[in-house]
Amino acid sequence: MKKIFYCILISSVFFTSCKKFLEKTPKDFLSPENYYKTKPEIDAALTGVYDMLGKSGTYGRYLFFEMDQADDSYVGLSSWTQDIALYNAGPSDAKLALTWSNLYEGINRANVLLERVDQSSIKDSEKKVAKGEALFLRAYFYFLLTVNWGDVPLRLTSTKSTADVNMKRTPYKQVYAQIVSDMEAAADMVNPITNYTYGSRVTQSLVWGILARVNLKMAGAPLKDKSRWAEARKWADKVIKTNIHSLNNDYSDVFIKLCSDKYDIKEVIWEIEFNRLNGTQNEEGSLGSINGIGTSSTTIGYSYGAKKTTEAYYKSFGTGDLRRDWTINDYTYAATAPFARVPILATASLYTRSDAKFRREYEANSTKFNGTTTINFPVLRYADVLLMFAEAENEVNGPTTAAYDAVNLVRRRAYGVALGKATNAQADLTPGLDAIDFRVAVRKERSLELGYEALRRFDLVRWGDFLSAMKNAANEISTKAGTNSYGSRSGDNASSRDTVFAIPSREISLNHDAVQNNGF
Amino acid sequence: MQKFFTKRKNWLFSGIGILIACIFSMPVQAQTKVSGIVTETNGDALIGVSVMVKGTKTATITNAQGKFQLTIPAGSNTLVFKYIGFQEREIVVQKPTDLKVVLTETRSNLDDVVVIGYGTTTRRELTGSVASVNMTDLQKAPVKSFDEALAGRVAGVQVTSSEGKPGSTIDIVIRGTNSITQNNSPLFVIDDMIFEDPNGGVTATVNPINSLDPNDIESIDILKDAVATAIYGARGSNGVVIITTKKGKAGKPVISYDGYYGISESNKRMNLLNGYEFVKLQNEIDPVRTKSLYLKNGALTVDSYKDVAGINWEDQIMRTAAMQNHYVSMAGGSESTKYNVSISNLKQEGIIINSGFNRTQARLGFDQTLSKKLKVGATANFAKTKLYGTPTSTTNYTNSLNLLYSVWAYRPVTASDDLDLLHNGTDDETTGDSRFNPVLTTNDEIRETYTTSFNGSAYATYNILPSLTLRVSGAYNESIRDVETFNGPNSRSGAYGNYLVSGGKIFYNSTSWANNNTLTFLKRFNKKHLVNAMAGLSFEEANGNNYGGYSTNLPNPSLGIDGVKQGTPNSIYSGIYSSSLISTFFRLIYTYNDKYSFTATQRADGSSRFGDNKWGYFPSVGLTWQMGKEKFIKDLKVISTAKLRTSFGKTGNNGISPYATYSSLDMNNSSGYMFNNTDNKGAFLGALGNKGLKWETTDQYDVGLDVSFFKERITFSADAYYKKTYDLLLNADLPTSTGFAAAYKNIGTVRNRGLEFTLSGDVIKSRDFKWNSSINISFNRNKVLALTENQSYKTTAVFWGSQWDNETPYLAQIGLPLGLMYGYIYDGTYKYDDFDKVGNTYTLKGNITTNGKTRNDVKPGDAKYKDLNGDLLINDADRVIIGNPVPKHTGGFINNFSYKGFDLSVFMQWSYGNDILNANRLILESGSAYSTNQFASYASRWTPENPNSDIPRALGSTKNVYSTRIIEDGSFLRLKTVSLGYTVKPTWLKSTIIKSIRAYATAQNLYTWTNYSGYDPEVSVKSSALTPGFDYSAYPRAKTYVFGLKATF
Repeated sequence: MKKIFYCILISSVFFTSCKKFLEKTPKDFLSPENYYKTKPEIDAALTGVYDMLGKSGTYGRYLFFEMDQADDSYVGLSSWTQDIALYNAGPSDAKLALTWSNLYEGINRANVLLERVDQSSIKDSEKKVAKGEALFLRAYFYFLLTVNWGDVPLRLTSTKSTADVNMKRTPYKQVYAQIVSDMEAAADMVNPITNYTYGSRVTQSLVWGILARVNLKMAGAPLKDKSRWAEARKWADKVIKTNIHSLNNDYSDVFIKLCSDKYDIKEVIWEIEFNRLNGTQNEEGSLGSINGIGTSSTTIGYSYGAKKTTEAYYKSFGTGDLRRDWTINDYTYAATAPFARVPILATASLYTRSDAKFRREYEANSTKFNGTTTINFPVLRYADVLLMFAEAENEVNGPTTAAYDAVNLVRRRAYGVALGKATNAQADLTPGLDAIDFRVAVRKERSLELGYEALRRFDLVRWGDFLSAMKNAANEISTKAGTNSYGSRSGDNASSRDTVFAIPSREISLNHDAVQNNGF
Repeated sequence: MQKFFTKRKNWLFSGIGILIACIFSMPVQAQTKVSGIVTETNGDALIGVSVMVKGTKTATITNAQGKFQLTIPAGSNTLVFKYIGFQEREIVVQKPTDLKVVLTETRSNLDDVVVIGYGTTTRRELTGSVASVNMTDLQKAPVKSFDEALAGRVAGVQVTSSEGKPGSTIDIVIRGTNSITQNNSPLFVIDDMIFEDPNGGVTATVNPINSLDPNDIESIDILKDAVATAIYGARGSNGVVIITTKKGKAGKPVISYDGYYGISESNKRMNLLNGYEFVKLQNEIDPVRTKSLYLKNGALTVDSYKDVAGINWEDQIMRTAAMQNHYVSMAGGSESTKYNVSISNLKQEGIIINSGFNRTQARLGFDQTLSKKLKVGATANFAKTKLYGTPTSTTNYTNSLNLLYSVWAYRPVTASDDLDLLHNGTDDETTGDSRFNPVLTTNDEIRETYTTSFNGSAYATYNILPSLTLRVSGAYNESIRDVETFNGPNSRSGAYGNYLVSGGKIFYNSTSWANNNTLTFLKRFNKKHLVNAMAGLSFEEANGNNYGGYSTNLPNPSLGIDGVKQGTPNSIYSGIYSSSLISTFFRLIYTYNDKYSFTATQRADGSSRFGDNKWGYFPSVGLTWQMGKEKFIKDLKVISTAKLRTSFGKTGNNGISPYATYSSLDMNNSSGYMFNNTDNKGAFLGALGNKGLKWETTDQYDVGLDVSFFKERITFSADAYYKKTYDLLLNADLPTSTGFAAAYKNIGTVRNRGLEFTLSGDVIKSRDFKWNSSINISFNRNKVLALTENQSYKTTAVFWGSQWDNETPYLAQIGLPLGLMYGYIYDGTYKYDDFDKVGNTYTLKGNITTNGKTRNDVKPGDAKYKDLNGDLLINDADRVIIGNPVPKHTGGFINNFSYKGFDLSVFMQWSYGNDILNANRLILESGSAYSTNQFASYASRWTPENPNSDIPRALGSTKNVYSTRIIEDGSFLRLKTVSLGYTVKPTWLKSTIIKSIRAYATAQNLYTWTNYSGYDPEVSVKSSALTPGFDYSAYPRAKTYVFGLKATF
């Protein structure tokens, strides 16, 4: 009997210890089940959501370079033969796939946080802010997705199983509805911008401003929901009415500050911050290096200067408009040290000039990496809010004084007129325009004020002008650009399908319920 | 092992012998007491030999020391010695005491001992497909480790080395590729230690094969079919390679020395355009620039460069390299104590400057018989290695970062006498790529890996009963790998780029242990029934960690890597893992009448790497029939033995990282975000766990036939197999809308089937001249039967240059072999006929396809691709399968000749019908960039003077595509090892202390017959199941000549 007892005892000890022996838990990474508890953990998880804004596929590069290819520039890299910026890339293009996956990775990170934050031990007030920021970011990622791809799978819960792969593309109307409701909810949860001294946090002004942008988009193509004009007007007005925001006196200083890591939250309501933690593309961006004024000087900072301007865009600036020579360079750098500025001769082809809004000579770092910079990208400026207000106000109430005031505020700064209500004949918009002319004027103003800020293609598509503008630009480049006439490729290749991009082929082949966009 | 088995058999017979002795010994008058000892030819005592007085029933058996004693009745004086496996011997007793009887083994191939998992058996009883490598042949190759010499030796075993760099990865694949994304390496068992993947994996911080001198290996047995591998259960799917090291033998100490010294040189050079051809090409690419640069605005002509010698960059970077190995061992012992010690030192220089492999290794082993029942033993191996040199093909970011690109593309001539290309780091004419003076950068970079490893194992066997043996063994491994990187001020990254002088180290440490306990029962019942049963229990654990750091912008380059602390910290590494396995296993081999043999195995494995499905069960059965024993074959005098085998079983593959089932919460350098110019760490879900993961399973069927003819002078072996691997552990692609790119799933199915043949024999067997020959050939066919959900095909990009990342040259499609090459069909160049000529402008005719450019841009001489769907465009729809990297058959052919003291061994190896994707030609036969030299073959490109050429004109192949143009036949026949030796007559050495001496000369990789245009057809620089046979900037393969001496004292 005793023997049997010992046998059982020994074997049960043996099997329990076997079971223990086979349990190996990871020690150099945490399990998500044990995370999302404390304030630092929630902060880190939220930082992880913000992280996706600064990748190559997002504001690190593609969103302002390849994916914003419109009529105000051409790709100055003649060796390129196939690219999304040339509108001849197929669904298997790696850049498309990266942007798509960056955005969805951000969405999943936000979903995980939103699901877990309630179980954390942080204060309710902190919970509310964290949730608001995550909710807004998720909505913003969806906004970028639907603007660029139309119908997209709307995943509102985190992926929990490896079998959870199939999902239909949700009609864009529904996606927009979700974006608006999430952003509106977030607006009441996040902090006012005055809580911060910097512009990279999601704040109330930012959410309202982006809501104005979302509603403008909804009022235009493809949704064309006219009722949204009033909404856009409402949100832009809310930002204006805060009386927190104002324009910087000096247009160029807005960008010099962005280059040199200084904040001006009155004007720049939302900027994407880049750092130089390890000098990789993932943490630094390409702003000022893929575009900017081309130079191989490492003192100034290497730049490809690959976003070249078009003649029409250069000439669209009025006489005395100070924005022209900041947006487009009027000098280059000497090839040898000390790399002095060399003015571009008036006789030189305009097609050699570049998008020069972000100049590495102002970059804060002492050592500058080739190919990457720490220049911050402005997603939302107060000038944009004013122009959005003017555009929406005109659509709702016509060219009212309020609409005029908003545009003129922007224009007076552009002409170097001191800020204030004083009228200025040279700067101010022709008075007495009708609603249609005012619309044309405000649209042009957006192009002049916000050029090369990842908004031109967005604007053209929502106005329904994308294809005609691209064809006009191609025409102009091929007839006028001489040796740079290769720059007409984007316009030559663009067709009606190109108001959206192809759904990455990887998504199509692995997500059984996804179908391709027309024309791809 | 061999001893171990023989001994157990001895016990069986000793039992029978005692019985006989007891029953039949009777008291007889006028007896003589006789005593003596029975040994093998090597002096080892034979235990359990039956000793019988001829014509009587008096008998005894030898004891554990091989001694016997018996009384001979009057009138008898002849003793008969019988022992299984040895020739019967009769001895007339002259003097009654201290009789010394030596028995010689009866040699039948069927009596060869074969190492199987956790035991041995003989060929006769073997039901599985197990190939034993001929070590005598293999050890003739002057290689640092046995895997380099394994290719072509054994049917069904495909060995591919990725490139020619000393120490580069060698892939051993047994019976085809099972796994799509995971490791396909067989399991390695070295003495009692198990290694899952020598090239990495959990238990191999240090490649255990590189730590072993081939001279120390006694035997290599390769288990191929399921009944052989299933005893290794969850890790047996890819086959098992069992390596047994040498042990001491009883007798006087034998000291041996084997050393060789020799040289290596490049097998082949890539010819490049000479100075004149280069300038001519520049003139075609950009006449304006060339006019001012090379032609000095008309002062010179292209012809002026005809006499300019130019720089041969290959000559600058290649060298004649030295190789040497010295191995000394001592072995010996008494009957109860046996020992062996050895040390060796190897230095192998690479044929590219500043690269090579060094190893110092020591080994110690002993076996001690403590009592009749108890025996213990231990071995220890200690090795230090250093692998150094800039890898030539590993950089993924841009093609121009790879070393050989700089060698080939660097311009051979300049326009200026003052410009010293050889001593300048960069060439000002080179813009837009990362080319750098290859000599300077190679000499000023450190890419060194130091390893230290200790392997020890010990065992004890205890004979509980004569037929029942308990064996307990333990093994321990401790390894450190130290990877050092440093970029000096004259190296590419030290002079250029963001980090300037930079460097760092990473240490990888691992320890692992294993404990195996087996109980073996071996008994013959009623002469006809032989039972060999084994049950076992084993435990294994592997632990590892790594740490390291890297810093940049080092202020004092002269401090080298030790000055890393002064730089800007860039990255810090840390990691830790642990993995464990518990297994129980059982095997029964039952042989009836030495004619029918049946094997059944069952193993259960429990692994910490899996979550909810920790335990897996792997059964197998096998049957053999000794047809040779049947009358109808016995009557055919030609056939000496014939054996038919068949088996079926399930095996597994657990090749995933220790924590693949876990979702991981990650934080790293690139997951943070800045707020207010301050960096914040970001946390995110880095991997989507899958608790339901389980083993990948392979069902394998095998039928085999072993026949020998003319008294076993010729032997022939054939195997046919069918393997289906399902529930693949697949790092399956996920739609990225899930937020993840891939996750581990058990999904997908791959099938392999094949045939293997081996024929060997003694062609001539006269007294002085012997010629022995062996040839083997294998055929494997592979097919993908299923991929992940929704996936009917999977294309794979190869990352070797950023502008090619969008192109996917490999395809895995359901119903087709794994890893096919995929792309466009090259259709030559556009000829003048394809155009309408208006004035001086050529316009493409309306019915001719473009090549991806806009129609107006297509010019005569441009690369042309086949438009398959007739839409006159070249796009994704025109891609098809353009090559198959899997050989139709592979094999080896060895001939050994001996004449008196001379011996000659000639080994050839081949691969037939495999394609190679030669990406070198995409860059170096394209003329698409200024100041970039090209292969000599590009001299015959399309030009207006050479309008029939199908090589695109300068600037005529700017679209980045993979096409049939660069797919080449990779078939080859290689004269791999030729070794000529002379053994000095023993009689000449009588007065010296030298027992034997052999001097030899060996050539390795002597000649290769192939049509492949690259350095070497045995190449796969991005080696994986999905992307085989890719060549870009592969390190050239060396041919080596050595002279050596082997002596025993």
